[in-house]
Amino acid sequence: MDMEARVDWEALPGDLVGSIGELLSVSSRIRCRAVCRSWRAAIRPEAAMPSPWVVIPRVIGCSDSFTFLSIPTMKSLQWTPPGGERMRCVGSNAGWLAVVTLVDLVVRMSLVNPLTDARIDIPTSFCRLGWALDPYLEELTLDSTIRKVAFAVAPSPNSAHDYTIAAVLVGGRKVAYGRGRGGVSDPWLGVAEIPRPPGGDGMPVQVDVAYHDGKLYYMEVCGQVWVVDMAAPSPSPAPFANLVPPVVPHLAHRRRGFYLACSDDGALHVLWTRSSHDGTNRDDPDMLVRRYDPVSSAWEKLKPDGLGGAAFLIGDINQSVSVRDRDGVGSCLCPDSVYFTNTPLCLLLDHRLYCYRDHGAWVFDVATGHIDWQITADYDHPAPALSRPEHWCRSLWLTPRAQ
Amino acid sequence: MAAATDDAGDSNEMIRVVSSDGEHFEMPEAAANLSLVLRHMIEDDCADAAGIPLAVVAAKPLAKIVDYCTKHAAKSSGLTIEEAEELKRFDAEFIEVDTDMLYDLLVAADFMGVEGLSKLAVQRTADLIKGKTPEQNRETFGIVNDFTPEEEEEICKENEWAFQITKPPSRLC
Repeated sequence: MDMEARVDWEALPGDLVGSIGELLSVSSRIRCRAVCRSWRAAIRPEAAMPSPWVVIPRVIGCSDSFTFLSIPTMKSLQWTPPGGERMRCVGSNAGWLAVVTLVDLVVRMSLVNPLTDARIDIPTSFCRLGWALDPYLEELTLDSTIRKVAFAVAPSPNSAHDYTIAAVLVGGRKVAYGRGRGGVSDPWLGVAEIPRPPGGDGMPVQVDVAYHDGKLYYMEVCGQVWVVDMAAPSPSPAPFANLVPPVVPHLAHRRRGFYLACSDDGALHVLWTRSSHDGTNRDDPDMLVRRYDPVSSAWEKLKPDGLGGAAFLIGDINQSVSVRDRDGVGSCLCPDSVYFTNTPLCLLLDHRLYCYRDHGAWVFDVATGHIDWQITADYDHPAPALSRPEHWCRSLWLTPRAQ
Repeated sequence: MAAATDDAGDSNEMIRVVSSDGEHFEMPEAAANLSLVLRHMIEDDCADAAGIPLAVVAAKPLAKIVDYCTKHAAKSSGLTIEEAEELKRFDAEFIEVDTDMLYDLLVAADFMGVEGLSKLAVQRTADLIKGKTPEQNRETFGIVNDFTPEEEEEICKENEWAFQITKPPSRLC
């Protein structure tokens, strides 16, 4: 006969609560520590890790361990994919990572939320490696197979998340797009071929992809932007706009980078970087941002308020992220600024020496045009001792979300 | 001793245990050996006809634990794939218990040193906790929120993203 509540879960011995905590995902563990005082005391704490984060793989190629670095607090946590799986991150959006894995040398793609352990496997048939590669070759091979992924995941009550995805393939020469609805995957609905830019030998094939509100955008190096309406019955690319790249004649042969980013009002922005970084010519800034005005169908220069109070986060691989104060990042990031993780910018700007500094992030102030090392990381994971910038791990921005 | 099940003679030896509320149970020695505590008692010749007293384990969980150990001892070595799967099914059904019993099993398995059962109960508890808000977990486990509102706010602020799980999904075309 049980006359009263017999058991008292608050009084469960601490070591048992602790071992339960070890089996939880990071986000469940954090929430579990908010249940009551005794559970809080028993479960291993995670550092205060406000958004945004930078995801840094332990090694190049596929990595079995990642450092998540919270930029506001510079605290980090280590993430090891379940089952010791090795992954290469190729994109991030709203708490999810797009990852490439090698299963028996076959290249596979998944979307994972490292904080909840949720996972969507995207059926693919990209390629099969002939033999196991050393990490450097693995990085190069995978990079030329799946360079970058822009995507969005819509959580649903059952485990079958919906998703929309665009992948830059074959070293930037193709963009494939697809979607999954109600557990039924439809990758890939189409593949767009990216033509070689007319600029001659010095211009590498380049393309960037972005997703916003049901639409996928991609831009070629000549400035042509295409849109794919993923809500259409059979989506296909349509011309969206053209932004002639800023021409700097004597630098035309140098590399030039560009990034697509959507602000949360849906306006498409393009950020250009150029290869020289002397900063002396004010008419020819090292970086410039253009905003597309759908009413006038024109690319306008930014107004004095720059990005309208938002900041763009541009990672080595992931689609650019727009964040603002209300996302809880206002205290650490300046509005109207563009933040980079460092590797590709070093490569694009040809300032390779700078790459030897600690892992960190660049910040570009849109209003003043000033570029600075706003952020340097001092985190507890030793940076790999590598002699060549190409050996640096590519990092991504991640705005953590537990859904 | 671990291989005792192979020997029909040994496995017939019955070990008696007594719950905290005075109920007597019997199980084969091989089953009792799955408990670190019982194994040590047996090795120290403390297992007599009166039974080994387990002062903190009540009859209800003890009956379950005797069940668990008997099942697992009978199938301890050289499992075929089918047997391993059957044992997995047994475990899954075995641990489908209410939170009161789960609590008792957690504590008793830990006290008696039954490693397999301990893991099973810990995993089951973690599965119940997963994906829930703190409030939902308090409801599930009958826990009173003993944080002050200020503390609670502070806790949520540290890692705000982890608590944003009830937000409606963003539009996806």
